[in-house]
Amino acid sequence: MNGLEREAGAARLWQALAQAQDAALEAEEVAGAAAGSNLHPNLHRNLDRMMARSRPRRRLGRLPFALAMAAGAVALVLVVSSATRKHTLSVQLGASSPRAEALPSLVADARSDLPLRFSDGSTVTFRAGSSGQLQKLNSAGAELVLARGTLQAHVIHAATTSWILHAGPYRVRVTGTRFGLSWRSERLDLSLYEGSVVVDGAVLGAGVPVRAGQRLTVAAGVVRIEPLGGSATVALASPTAHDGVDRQTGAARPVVEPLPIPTADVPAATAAVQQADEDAPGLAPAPSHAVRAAAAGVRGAQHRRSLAGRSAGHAARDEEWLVLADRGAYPEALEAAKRSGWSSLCRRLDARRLLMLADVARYAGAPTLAHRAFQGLVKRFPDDRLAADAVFSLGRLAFERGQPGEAARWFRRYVSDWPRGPLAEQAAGRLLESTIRLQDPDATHAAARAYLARAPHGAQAGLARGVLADAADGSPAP
Amino acid sequence: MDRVLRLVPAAAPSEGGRDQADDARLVAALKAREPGAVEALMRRYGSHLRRVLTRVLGSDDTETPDVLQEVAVIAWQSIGRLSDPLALKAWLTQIAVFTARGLIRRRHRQRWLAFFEEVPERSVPWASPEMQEAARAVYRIFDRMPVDERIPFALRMLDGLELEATAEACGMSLATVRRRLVRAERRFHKMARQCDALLPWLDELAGERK
Repeated sequence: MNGLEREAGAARLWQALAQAQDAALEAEEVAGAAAGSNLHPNLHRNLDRMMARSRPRRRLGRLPFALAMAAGAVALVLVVSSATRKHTLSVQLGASSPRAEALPSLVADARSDLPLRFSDGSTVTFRAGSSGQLQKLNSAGAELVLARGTLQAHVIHAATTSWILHAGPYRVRVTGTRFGLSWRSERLDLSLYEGSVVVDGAVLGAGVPVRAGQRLTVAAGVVRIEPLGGSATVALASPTAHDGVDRQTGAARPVVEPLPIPTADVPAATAAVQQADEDAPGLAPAPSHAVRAAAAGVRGAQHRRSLAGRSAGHAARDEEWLVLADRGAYPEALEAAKRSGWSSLCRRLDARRLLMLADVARYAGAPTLAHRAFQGLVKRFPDDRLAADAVFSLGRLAFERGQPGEAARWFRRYVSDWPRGPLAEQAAGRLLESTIRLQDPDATHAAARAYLARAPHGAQAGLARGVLADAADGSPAP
Repeated sequence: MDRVLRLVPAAAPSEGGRDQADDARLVAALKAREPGAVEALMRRYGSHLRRVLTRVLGSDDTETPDVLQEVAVIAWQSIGRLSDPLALKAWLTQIAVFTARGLIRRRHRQRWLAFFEEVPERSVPWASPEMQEAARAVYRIFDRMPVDERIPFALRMLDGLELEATAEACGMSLATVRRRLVRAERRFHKMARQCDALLPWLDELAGERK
């Protein structure tokens, strides 16, 4: 390696590192860590107090003022510094206190719980028979893995709290909350009693927010968010949906208020339920009474606000799926949208709602309907920035359905139409995977070269290099 | 005599479009100890200062918020010494650099005395694991470099500062900063070659061999 090559590699390092730092800063700003003014609230108050005190003293002359200011500032620095000084959390595990650099695996035996007590007051209890690992401890929080079973967590909120819990391919990001988390047989079950968290990974993509009083389940590719307590929307779930965190734990569950579900206007909702789906008759299973009640409540509330002159039933139906989707009740939102007429919605909705409609179908495990909604978006709004998301999603859907040729076409389109889009690198990688599945060596080599040119250190760089190396050796692509 | 409250200029949407008149008003408000002046200062330059501190200390550093508070206090305390209001940003940058330098030196002493625990790392979930590992490796090397080489090197490489701006931020002459940058680069590359996490970045051939 000569000096120039080394310099080029180092330049990429600095560039990538600066970009990662900028992204981190931006994320902190967005998350409110910078809190607008980049100052701790205590400092605001103390500075204001100091300034208020300092003004009258100015009349006494410069020296006393300067001394007072200096002393005040020193005191302030000490106070702020000691108040905000961060120490790595410590944890009490039974009678022992493991050190941050030697964190243990956690296995609760079959008959008793395994409680972890953290120095900030947070607690995490692995329920009997559960296992996992404490991966990291730092001043902002901890990172734990739930390998199997159930845990109950109570994370104390502070300004910079950041806890992460991993369960299978999912990640729960926590800033201060009380929840139960279960991971069994590829099924994620999260019940949130206080605060809010964001869960991401696998089918959840960049993240789904879950709020207090909600329960998130992900099983067999179907995502559900429903009110905690299960009073409203359990009907469409599989029987295992009743295996909630609380029954598994057998522990006294914290008292929670279920989300308010209005129960008015049941007849109107029933009428809506009975309307045949113009697109997919017979596809929609009859919702339970609880679902009808929920839908009716939404309808009742929305109906009263509906625009004058519009057909009340039509407007309410249109809004019903949106309200349900906003709550994360994706299967119910899907049914509501189907009742409104899927094709009609695909023709009428604006780009943003169309994308939401497609996501509802995707989360509810209806890829065909998702495909139609994404296609509607791409066809009707080809120049909208959301069309890029739709094109990528169409590629992904095709790939998941075992249609690598179609997937390659969509990913190729993404890379060509949005070369600097946020998903361009991923699209290039997926294009490579699709061409490998297609067993088209020319296309595979072209995709590998294009990927390496774009992302020499990307997630698929190893695969791309392997493909090109095999081509050089004369062996077939993987 | 009580002062009349005056409005302090609002934050500019971007640093590039900052207006010199606003800086002059902001400095005047700080000197007059007007309520809200420090907030206005940090609204205007907080992001810039965070970036400078992040370049010098790394994204993982859990003490960055504390250092930022120190910068705010020092700026407020010593604003009287700033004679040219138009130099406000450069002056704040210098304070940030010097405060960070103080922290790094303190840590070096603490490490040597071994009285204190290691400063904990903060996870940065928005970067890829490889990038996080590379970032940690870079800052581990920085920690082994002399502070007066590390800071100009970080500002020059990560923030892309011109030589003159790097020298100004570090309070060094142009010749000194140039000399230290050359030394820093040599030192960094020597240590980086011993570090697995950085090899793919420094050596294309390493990637090909994998």
